[in-house]
Amino acid sequence: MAIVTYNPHSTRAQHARYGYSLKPWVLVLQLTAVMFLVVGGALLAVGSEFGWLALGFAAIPAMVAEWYVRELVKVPLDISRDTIDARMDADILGTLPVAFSPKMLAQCVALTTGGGFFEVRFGVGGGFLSELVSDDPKDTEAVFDEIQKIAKLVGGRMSAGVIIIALLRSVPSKKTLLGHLQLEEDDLIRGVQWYHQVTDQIDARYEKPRRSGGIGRDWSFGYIPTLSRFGQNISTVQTVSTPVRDETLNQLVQLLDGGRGSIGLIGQLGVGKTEVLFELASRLMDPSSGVPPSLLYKQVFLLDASRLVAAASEGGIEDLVATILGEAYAAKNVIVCLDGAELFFESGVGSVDISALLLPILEAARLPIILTMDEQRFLQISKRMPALAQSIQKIVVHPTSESDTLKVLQQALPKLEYRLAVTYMYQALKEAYALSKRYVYDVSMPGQAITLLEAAAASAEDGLVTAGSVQKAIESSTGVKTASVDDEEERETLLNLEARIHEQMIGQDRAVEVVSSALRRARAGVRNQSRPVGTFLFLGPTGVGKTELAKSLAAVYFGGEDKLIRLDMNEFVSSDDVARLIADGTQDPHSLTAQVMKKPFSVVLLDEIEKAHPMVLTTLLQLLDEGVLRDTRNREVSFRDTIVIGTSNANAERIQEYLHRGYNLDQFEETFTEELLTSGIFKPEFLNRFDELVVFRPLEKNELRQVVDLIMTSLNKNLEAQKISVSLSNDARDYLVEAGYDPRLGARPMRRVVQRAVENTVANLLLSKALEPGGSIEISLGQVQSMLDTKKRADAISDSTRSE
Amino acid sequence: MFLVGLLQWWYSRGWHGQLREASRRLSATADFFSIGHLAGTLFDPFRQISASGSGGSLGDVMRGFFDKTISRTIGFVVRFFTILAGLVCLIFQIAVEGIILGVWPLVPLIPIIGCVLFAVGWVPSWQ
Repeated sequence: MAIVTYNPHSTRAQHARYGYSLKPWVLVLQLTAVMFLVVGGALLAVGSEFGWLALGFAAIPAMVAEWYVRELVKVPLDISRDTIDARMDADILGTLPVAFSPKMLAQCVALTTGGGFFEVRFGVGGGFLSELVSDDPKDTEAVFDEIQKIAKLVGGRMSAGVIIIALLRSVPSKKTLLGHLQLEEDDLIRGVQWYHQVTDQIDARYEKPRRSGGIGRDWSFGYIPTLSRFGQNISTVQTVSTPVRDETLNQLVQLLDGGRGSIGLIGQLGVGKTEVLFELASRLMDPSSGVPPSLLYKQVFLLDASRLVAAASEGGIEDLVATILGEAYAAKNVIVCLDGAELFFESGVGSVDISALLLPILEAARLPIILTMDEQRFLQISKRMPALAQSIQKIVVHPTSESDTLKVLQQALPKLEYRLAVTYMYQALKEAYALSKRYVYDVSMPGQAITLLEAAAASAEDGLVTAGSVQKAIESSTGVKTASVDDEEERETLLNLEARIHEQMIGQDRAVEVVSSALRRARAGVRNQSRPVGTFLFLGPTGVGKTELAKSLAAVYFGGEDKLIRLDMNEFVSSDDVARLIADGTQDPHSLTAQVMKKPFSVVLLDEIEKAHPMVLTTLLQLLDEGVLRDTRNREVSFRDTIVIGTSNANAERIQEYLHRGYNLDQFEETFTEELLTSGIFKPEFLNRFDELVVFRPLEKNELRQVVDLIMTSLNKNLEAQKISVSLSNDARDYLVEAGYDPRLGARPMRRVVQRAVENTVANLLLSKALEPGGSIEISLGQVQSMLDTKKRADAISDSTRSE
Repeated sequence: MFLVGLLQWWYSRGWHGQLREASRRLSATADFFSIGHLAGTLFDPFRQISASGSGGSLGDVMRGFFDKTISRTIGFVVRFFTILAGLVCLIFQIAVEGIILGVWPLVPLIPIIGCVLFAVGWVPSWQ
């Protein structure tokens, strides 16, 4: 015998249909009942027996309306039976006909609140699915099976989300669809739980009225005028608690109940210490929350330390705090919370040290006081003031995990959405977690993600905050391109990156190709997200374009040469320099970590890396391996959107040797890198951390000519304002190649030599009126020679460059 | 079927729900007057208006004692009359809720009663 999964004639299904049909008529029924009552009464008053009929019939619409309001508006689930009609939400069940196809089911879901929730939060609703699912009623049974399976994962209730997932499973292109929506099925399951939580909370408001404790609740407790003036009674703010903070709250309640008066909530900024206080206050006001009777209806007052410091007159802070705490103690029903309490234990701008007053009170522990303090500053103060650590019971509030953060965000959304007048999609929450973890510093989860969500509201489209809005918020604050490549210009740049780089530098095709490929992989999303975009060690003699390539890359793709973070590693030659490398931005804004924190989307150039101290290189191992580096404040700084380039001219003379012996680069590159490994200049584990070791060869004559052309192009750009165009005759160019090339410095002196020769010539011509603005000139060999005088003069220029 | 469903609900979950509502309203009233709490703290000082009773000179101690006694007396009077008012309200509410619960099963009969009274033709006289 087949198991019946859906009985359209069951009592519950019928009641759901009655409810759906009666919905538009309830007001009419209620008005009819009132009208019959009034008319009946009036008729009786004038002595007409018809009044009895009217009064009698008034009962019929009144009873129907009562039935609707008390039962049919939301027919309760029948969890005792495992059938669709027993467990499906009544608003969907009521709209279903006796027989229907998956398409009709999807259409019915689209009309419900739950369907709307999924449509808005996830971008997948009944209306959208009705275009994709089967219209054959025979396929409905398979959907029912899936509904039952999914419902088991979420407590048995078959709500709109459960049906949407089941319908989605029946779509052949489910994977593509989910991929397009940036969702996993687990996300939708989480969405169902989220929706159930929201509806349960709404129901609870009606089913469990808030108990206030009554008018006489506080009559036994004292007046608190000063505390009321300077503190915020957070017991009057109703906060819905999240299971995420249950453990911390239970601990807090236990300590308060046990008479351990002085408690410290210690945690990083953004972990939710203040939120814990709000949840505690709400819990203490709720007799059904199971708090001990000794704590029930205790009033929690939040004192903002910075406000107190600002409000108190000079030198009056101690008196003010003493008065407030005195009132709180005398009142006998107050828990005092000092938010940002570290301000009371240190002297400085905006803080005042009143530890002499507070410590005895904390040690006595007769008044319940909760201090919230930043973890780092608590450690600093405790070191200086061990009595503080001994006098308080510490509860550490930890940053939340991804799933807990999402729960907190879901809980925080109503207030956030109301305040910012936007609606957040679930994908935005997930993206906010992922991106804020990587790019938002100095705040911990969940505050990190909330900060980013708030910023993303500015990028909302039609009031909807999507994953794209969050990406835009990060892009505008850090410059990091987190969104997928959908901009035509960027696509073009990426595909022609080599050509674009070669517009700024000549030769070194292999090096250009490897960095370009790394960037393309990164933007196509096919790279390891837990490492930098690319890590390269450029090897080769001076003046062959190693630094120039890094500069070009920064200019072409990262948005300008200012996106190049350059560190001369010969400044990091002692082990003490490690601290300078990872210094906090407030101590040294030019440290590597501080610069990358400011510009996470950049090219990091570690010049002459072989000169750095081995300890410095060891520090860099984690950077190269995991794309992160911890600064002196133990903050994780992400290098995962940087290209890290180390340059070295170690063993460069061997390259020259190979070339003199007639080898070309391809033939000796591998041998050269092996020689480098065995040379002991770098440890093998350091070299192995790089994606590629790229050997640069000295530039050839024809390439040097192109370098001169490149310099000429840039000079012409400078002269554009005066509408002057300058070119070189071939023999003049060859002369400059000779003059600007140095076997030891490569093409490094080239720019200086060309600039001097050309700019000086143009300047002389302009002054002698031989050249007018708007004119053009070809500089001859003679002019170049006279300007540079002789080859010796060029050498002198080279020497001066070298000495610089 | 509709009528059967309505009557079934009326005499089962409807009536039970009405009872639950009545008890919820009663407990809300009891909570508002907090009779139990007031009874427990009947002689407590009102709003802790008291001077410190211990230490200091004999005059201070005496003043503290009188302050506290006055505070307790005020507390007793306020609480006693509140308890009294609460009890009156509760008794009145219990009576009303009892009537509602008693009338509830008769409501479906009202149309029939109306028809019978119409057929009888009796009309209350206001003179």
